[in-house]
Amino acid sequence: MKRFLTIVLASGCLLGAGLAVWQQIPAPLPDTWSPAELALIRSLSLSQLPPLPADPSNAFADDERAAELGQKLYFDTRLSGNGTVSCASCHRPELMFTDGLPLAVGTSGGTRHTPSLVGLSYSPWFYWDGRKDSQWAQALAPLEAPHEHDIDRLSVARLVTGDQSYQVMYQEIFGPAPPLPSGGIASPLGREAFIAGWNTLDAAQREAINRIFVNVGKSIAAYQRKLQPGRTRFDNYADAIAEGEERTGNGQLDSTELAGLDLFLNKGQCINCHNGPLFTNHDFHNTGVRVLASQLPPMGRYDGVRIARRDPFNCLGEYSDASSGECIELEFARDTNELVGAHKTPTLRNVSWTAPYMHGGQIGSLEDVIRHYDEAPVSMLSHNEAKPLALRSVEHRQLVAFLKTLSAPLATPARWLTAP
Amino acid sequence: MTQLRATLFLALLVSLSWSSYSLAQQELTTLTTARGYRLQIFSELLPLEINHIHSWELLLTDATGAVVSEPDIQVSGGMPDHDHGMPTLPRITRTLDNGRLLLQGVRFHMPGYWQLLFEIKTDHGSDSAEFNFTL
Repeated sequence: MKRFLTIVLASGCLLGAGLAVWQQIPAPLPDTWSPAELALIRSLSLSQLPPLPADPSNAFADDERAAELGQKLYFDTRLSGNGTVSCASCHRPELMFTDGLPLAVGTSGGTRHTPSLVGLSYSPWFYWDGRKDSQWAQALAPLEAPHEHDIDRLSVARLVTGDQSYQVMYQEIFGPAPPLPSGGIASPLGREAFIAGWNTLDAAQREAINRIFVNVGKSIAAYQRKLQPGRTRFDNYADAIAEGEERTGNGQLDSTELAGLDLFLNKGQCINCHNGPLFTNHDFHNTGVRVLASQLPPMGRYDGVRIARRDPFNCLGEYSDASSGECIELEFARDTNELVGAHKTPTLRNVSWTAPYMHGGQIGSLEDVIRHYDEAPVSMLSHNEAKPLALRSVEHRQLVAFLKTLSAPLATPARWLTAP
Repeated sequence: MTQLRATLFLALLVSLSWSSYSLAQQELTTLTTARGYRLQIFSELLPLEINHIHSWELLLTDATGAVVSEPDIQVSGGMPDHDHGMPTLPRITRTLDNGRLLLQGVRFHMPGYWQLLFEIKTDHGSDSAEFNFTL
């Protein structure tokens, strides 16, 4: 009996030790990439990024003067109710235009994590739930939000057309500004006092304010289009690796990073959503991220697309410069039940410099992000599209090592990265 | 699995390049419907790419080769492996001069296996066709 127990115990120990070792030993990989893998790797390279698509809803999107005005506005804390918050307060250039916080803090605490603005102008949708269909319309929304800039629309219009530092720039781009009401605060959104002021204005006054306000958004968007990612070690690897060449051939990535790339393409299934040169499909997925404490489970894109459709500042609205037939993304947007709880796929470029992660900043480290996708927890609302991956411990580390090869200083000239 | 993906990928490339002769747009594929009709699909974008919204043109012909005029065709589908549909809701917006139907708002946002269903209504009743492919 004693001998039997000894054998059982010894076998158990051996099995446990074997499993522990198995978790840690890198799997042998083929010496070369298959043609399909190579095609996928190349599709991720920054050199495959097409020229920035036009924004038909913004006639000033690529106007250099508008970008300069937008840069000035972007860094100006006068665009806030208490004079302390600018766009750059949360979208900080030194943090790849994020803030390093789980949830944004403007004039007060917010409910969503600040996403990076880098490369965002390639996206047809904005906000984690895609409630805006243009970068200019997105840029305007935080101004009136009580927890972000908390400023009214009339005050913004008055600053841009009345302040000497803006007046000339504005007129040169947009022409003479219409007259504005001389006093008070007014906005159709935001605080009750803003809305009360708006209700005292006639249609012509509202139209004048809206036109100037929209031009503010179009200028900020013109500036944000300058914020583009730089070449990384991964891009150097992807451009240099030749068909039939050994994976380690050009020496840009080490064996751990290459194993991570293999997982990214295959077992990890990351490329399903994080695809293309910006490592995002610009779409919306429910990946079972836990609900934030003190918040109801968010409806995500299901609500977002409905908000975008009724937004007066959308591509089809009167303030858009798009002509009929140019608002394809909005006109053919999906709105089905599977979008409940779905949030936008963020870029993975500079991901190691933009923690924390997810729409609510729920996950603090890349290691924990990989753990989340490995487990694929049940979604509180609707269903988690991701499936458990059964990754080993060593594979977690390999994936993280690969993700760290995706960061590099921006391609944007330095003059755009500080207040003018 | 990797080998299978590579084979499917190459098969798609080959099949697309073989069928890429050009009328107004290049032909993507020809499907046979449940009723035995022919549904030709022409794509503005060939080879197909992910993350690129574009248009297709559809031409339905009956067993005698005659064009079926103004059929009602609804398109749906998605990725069965991921339990989700298309990222857009493509729909037919008009009939072109050459008798083809313009299908706008086509976009695919993930590589992998896609299944599209064309539900067709004509004067002769209901019909359908499936288009399965790997991107």
